[in-house]
Order: sequence, then C-alpha cells, then structure tokens
Amino acid sequence: MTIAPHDPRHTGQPGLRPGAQVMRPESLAAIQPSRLSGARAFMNKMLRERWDISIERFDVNVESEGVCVYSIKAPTMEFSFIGFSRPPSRTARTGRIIGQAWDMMGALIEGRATEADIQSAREELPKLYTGRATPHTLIWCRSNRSMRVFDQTLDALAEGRQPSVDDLSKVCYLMRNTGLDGNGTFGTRSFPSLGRAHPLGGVLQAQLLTAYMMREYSCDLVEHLARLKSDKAVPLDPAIRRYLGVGNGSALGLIFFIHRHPRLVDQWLGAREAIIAKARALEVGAGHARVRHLLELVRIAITFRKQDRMVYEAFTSSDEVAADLEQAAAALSELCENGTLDGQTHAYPLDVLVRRFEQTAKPESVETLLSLLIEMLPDEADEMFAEIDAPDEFTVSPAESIESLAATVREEYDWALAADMTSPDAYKYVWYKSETAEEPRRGDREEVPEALDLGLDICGGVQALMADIAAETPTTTIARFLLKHPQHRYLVARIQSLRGRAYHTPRANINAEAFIPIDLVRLMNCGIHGIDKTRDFLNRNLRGVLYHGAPTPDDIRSGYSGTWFYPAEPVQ
Amino acid sequence: MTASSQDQFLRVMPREMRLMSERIFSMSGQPKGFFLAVQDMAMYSQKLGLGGFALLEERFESLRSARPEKAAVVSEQGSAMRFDGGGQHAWFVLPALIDLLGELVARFGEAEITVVNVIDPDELKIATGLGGRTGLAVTLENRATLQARSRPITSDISQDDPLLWDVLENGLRIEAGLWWRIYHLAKKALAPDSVVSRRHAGPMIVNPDGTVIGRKDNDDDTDISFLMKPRALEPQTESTNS
Repeated sequence: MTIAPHDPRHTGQPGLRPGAQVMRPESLAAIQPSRLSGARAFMNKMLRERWDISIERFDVNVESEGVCVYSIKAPTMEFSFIGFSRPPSRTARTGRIIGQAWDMMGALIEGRATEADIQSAREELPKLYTGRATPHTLIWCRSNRSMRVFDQTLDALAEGRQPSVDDLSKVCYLMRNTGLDGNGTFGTRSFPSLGRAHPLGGVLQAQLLTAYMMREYSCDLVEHLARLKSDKAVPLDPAIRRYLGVGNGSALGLIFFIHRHPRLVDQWLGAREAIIAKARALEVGAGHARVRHLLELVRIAITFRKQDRMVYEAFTSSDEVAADLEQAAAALSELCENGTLDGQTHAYPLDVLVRRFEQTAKPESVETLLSLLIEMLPDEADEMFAEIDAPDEFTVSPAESIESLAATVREEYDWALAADMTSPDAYKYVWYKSETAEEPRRGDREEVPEALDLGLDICGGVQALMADIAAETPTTTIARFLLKHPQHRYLVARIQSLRGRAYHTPRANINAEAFIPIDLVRLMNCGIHGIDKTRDFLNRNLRGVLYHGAPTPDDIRSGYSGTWFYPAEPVQ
Repeated sequence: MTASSQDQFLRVMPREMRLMSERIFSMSGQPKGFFLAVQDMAMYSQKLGLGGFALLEERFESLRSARPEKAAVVSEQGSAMRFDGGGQHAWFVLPALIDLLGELVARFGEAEITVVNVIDPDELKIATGLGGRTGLAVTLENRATLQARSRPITSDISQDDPLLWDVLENGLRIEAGLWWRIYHLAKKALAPDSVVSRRHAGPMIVNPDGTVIGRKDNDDDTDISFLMKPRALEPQTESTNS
C-alpha cells in the first residue's frame, strides 16, 4: 500500500496533505486518537466479532497475593491471560522501566491455560531478562496500581458505595501498564509469524489485548479485594467500570521504535491521511446523516474536553480545544440545517470547514476534528487498517546508480540536507540505553561520554552520504559505492526501501537541542496507540489512559455498537 | 545460576538474536551505518549449522580491528568476478558480495563471484539464505564461489526468505550457556548506570540532595531513594510469591 500525496489543485478535490506538513514533529504531536488508532481499532474488532472474555480463576487473598486466569475466546481461537497479583511495595517503585516493584505480572498465551502454563509463568516471569516464555506465549506484562485511587476505590466498594468520580477523574484508571514485552522478547512468539488470519495478527493487537486485560484485571481485583474485606461490598457501577481505562506511561523508547519501523509509521499515517482526504471530499449537505453523526461526535468531544481535569505542561489545554470545537460544532450545525457554511454552499463543505478551522484553531483541535471525520467512513477506515503490513527488513537495490540515488535524496530528504549539522547544538544530545533494565535515555553528550549513540542520525547521515556520492563517478552502481563506503549501507537500504513514501520519517534532527522528544512520544501514544489524556512531563514522558470508556466484557459479548470513546463522567 | 541456564538449550527468537548481534557488533568500532546492516549474520549462520553465536563469541575481539572497506573487486569478465575479501571476516564482506551478485544478475542475468582471502569462508553460505529477500537464488560451491540467478520477489517472507520465516516461526535452539554468555557480552554495549544517567529519563529529575525537578503528579508513587542510589542489579530476585 503506497500512498503518495497529490496536488489537489488539479482536480479541485481535497487531496492528501504533503509529508512536509504532516511529518513535522509538532504536527505529529498534535495527532489525536481515531478509529485508526490501535486501541480503538482493536476494541471495534472485538465488538464486531463478539469476543467472549471470562474469569476462569481468581485465587487472590486479602493481602493481594495470588493468581488469576482469564479465558478470551475469539471466533477462531482461545487465549488465556494469566496474572499474578502481589502486595504493593513502595520500595524500588517507579513508573520507569528500571522499577523493581510490580503489583501484577502477567502473560498472554495462546490456548487454554494449563497448570503447566501457570507454573511456567510463575517461575519464569519474575526472572524477566533471564526468564524464558513458553513457545505459545504472546506477551509478558507488568502493571502497578495508582495507589491512592485504587485504595480509595477499594475502601468505597468495601463500604458499600461507589468511589467518587471526582477522585477517579484525576487519573481515570486503577492500574497502569509498566511493561508489555512480546514479538520474540524473552522467547515469546514473533508477531510477523502470526499471519493475518490469526486473531491477533494485526498491528499491535497482542499488546492491546493485554492492555485491555490489565484494565479488566484492575477492576476485578478491586471488587474481589472489597468482597474479601467486607460483607457489605458492592461491585463497580458498570458506568464507572467503563469510564476507568488502564494507565500507560511512555517515554523515549518510542523514538527508537519510530526510527526502526518506518514502514509501519508510513502505512499508518498514510491510511489516516487517505481516509481524511476522502472524508473531506464527501459531497454532503443539509440533513445528511453523516454530518449529523459528525456533529454528534464533535459535541461528545467537547464534553470530554470540558470535563478533562488533567494538567498539561506544553500541550494545548482541553479548555482551549473545547472552545475551538464549539466553533466547528456551530459550523456543522449550519451545514446540517441549511447545507451552507457562513451562508454559502460548497462542493466540498467539509474540506472548506477544515481549511477555515486550520486558520483559527489550535493544531490539536484541528486534528481532533480530522480524527472524527474518519468516523464518517468507518468501513473504509477499518479495511485500510487491516491492510497495514510492514516488514522491518530493508534491502539494497545494487544496480541503481548513485546519480539516481542522489536525485531521490535531493527530492525526499531536502529537509535533512538543509539541517545545520555544524551548529554547536547539532549533536548536543546522545541517545543511549542503560545497562540497568535497558532504559532508553537522552542526555547531554558531555555528561555520558561512555554512552554508545543509538539514535538514528538521519540528517548527518544523509549529508555524509551525499558528500561521498559527490566524490564518485555518477554512474557508479550502489553495489560498487557501498563496497568502498560500507558505512552508508544501512541508510542507503533505508532510503531505497522507503522511496516514494511520504510519511515514514519525522523531519527532525533528534540529537539537536531544539528537538522535543515528547512530540514523537505523543504521536505513538495518541495517534497510533489511541491513548487519551496524555499528560506531559519534562518534554519527554507521558502518562495517559488506554481504553478510556471502553465496553466491558458483557458489552463486548452482546455486540455493543454505540460510541464508546470520549466518555462523559458518570453521573453520581 | 538460573533455572533457565540449567536447561541445556533455549529457544531464542529473531528479535533477541538481532538485538544481541547488533550490540556486540556495535562494540567492534564499526560505524552504525555498517553494523546495523550485519545484524542477521550470526542468526543465519546459526540456522545454517555454521559457526553461529559460538563463532561470534570466538571472533568478537578480532572483529574490533575489522576494515570492511579493504575488500575489493580484483577482476571481472562479463558475469564472472574475482573478489578479494581483504582478510576480513566473511560476515563483514557478505553484504557487499550480495550487492555485487545482484548488480551482475541485473546486467547479465546471472552472476559468479569467486571469493579469496576471507576469514571463515564457510560462512559465505549465509548468502544462500540472505539472497532470497533481494530477489536472488544463490548457491555456494567449494567454499569460495557464489553463483546467483534472479528469482521473483513476492513480498511474502515465507516465500522470499524461507530461512527467516522458519526462524520467525520457531526460533532457534541455542545452548543455554552460550546464549547467556552472548547476552552478557552484549550488555557491555549499554551505558553503566549512574545518578547522572538516571536524570536522562523519567517524568521527574531527582537532584543529589533529594529535591525534585518537575511535577510530582505523575501518579507513579515513586521511591525517590531508589532513583538516587542506582543499583546495577537486574530484577532477577523478584518473585510472584503465589
């Protein structure tokens, strides 16, 4: 699936936005969750297929120590989630990967869990880096409680009442994901080998099912502990249970992910841009059902933003986004009632609306509207998402001339060639991993002189490549060039393998002082994973909520078909 | 000694094999643009019953002085070529050999390269596996002559690169002791932990006096003292206690 932007002026129809616009880090940071985000797409799949999730075993004592097993039945296959609960410890506790205190460790496996599976997970999971998963294990995971909110909820339920929504709304989850490992790590199954026919063969689906199980586990655990604590205990109100997602912390490692999986990034962003362009080109007018639906979704988003209690450091506040969306809602209301915008009719009114919105609204507000436009073409969006298939391997095209490669570089990497790599700040920062827990870090190069630089220096690499090309005969083949200049091999293979694609590489020098890591972390968390309410810390870390408002297993079993994202606060 | 390392063999998947290879090669002094492109060598070698990770362990020190740019084409006539490996290890000249095979096949429809002066020439057989993904059917004769023809690329890994597909599906059985030595060798590529280094990640920065830079509402319930006293210990002693 290659998607290249075209110039809309030739047809008058809205076209794809160019890579030069979309791939700026600040633009990528503004992208909001949508139907194409992993969590939403996966939840919609479970709803469509009416997956059956049930508790098989919940042997946890009042000290929070024990094991639970869930059965997850997809239409063609059964999975099991095995979770080990542990008493919370404040020692060596942190949301960072270097933490050594986890309240839950779990495994997602294929098939029905046997005693041997449970025993193996019990023995191997705690070893983590020196442990080995069984051959049918998909994911190993860890999660921690939000201590205050979990305890408040536990106390409330044990006393026979519901927890305060005021308290819950400050974080919107009971437990937070602190690690999801799969795709071969610790001996887990390689995801590319699952194939498309596998129920979890799509992008990120094994991780996202596990995250959903973390959400379910957190709610089941708090109810279970409340029952052990008191005869008066009540379960969570289903509305509150839906409102609670699972927390997620993300940081610098996602920049490595983006650089290592450019095909995935390109296909995902390409699918998103293609659907948005198609939606902007819809010829809609007064009373059109699609416009009514869009207006309804914008109003849901406004409520969601108005009720958002999170504090953001650098990101646009939810109040500002809500105010912007009010303008969009007013315009959509006019379109819905009269078929006009500001009293005028247009061939592509949604495109006009977006272009006007871009002039006045914050980028995050614009991207919220664009994400909601995708909901107007749900089937097309789901089909495009299912087509995403992005192998990691790059290959060299050896017979190409360096003259031809140079032309590609000049056309597609002009931004990298233009970067000032001689500036004192161009290499100020180094990206590396710590020996402890392999934590991705970014620091002043002078502070960690021993660190091996793991960041992908696209700008410096492209400039060095072009300098060496310039010194060779233009008709030299890539094969002969790389024989003489083997240091360019990875970049040449990357450039050739991604040729003609618009959305694979963020246009930034990640080593520079000016680069803000959180921009790309947010692309992954918000846009690709589908995480809401991403609070930013020190321009490098995010805390957010996955499956905020997501249906419960009962809802999934019954095939719930309403809008579940952007949940309103439950009324008490 | 962990329970796993007491087992004779481990099932190791491509992700970990590639990661360990990459880290070990990163310590060879080669530029990133080169070592990232040879991360599959040890895995393919292991799968083909060649030297594999034991050879990686054995050759690691000598790879530090590698100069892959010393390899050169000695002579060529039509689709036939003689290639001097410059005394380099086969793993470090294989990418160039596959390129040259591809270039010759593109020009002449076939290719034959006779390779001299490489370390561990048996490892040249890796080209028979790696060639598929670039559209080449490669054979090795007499530990020295690579022959190639064109084959269609289907974009289906199982068809284009059946060796990789098999490893993705089944992993490789590697002797446990060997694997853990590789694991610990690779760890040397990672930066030692320190208080300064710990300030380079995380939602808050802890100063030496225990004060904190950044908001504290991250909901992590962080043990500040833990961040101030880094321990170079991995969580190997944790237990689920259930």
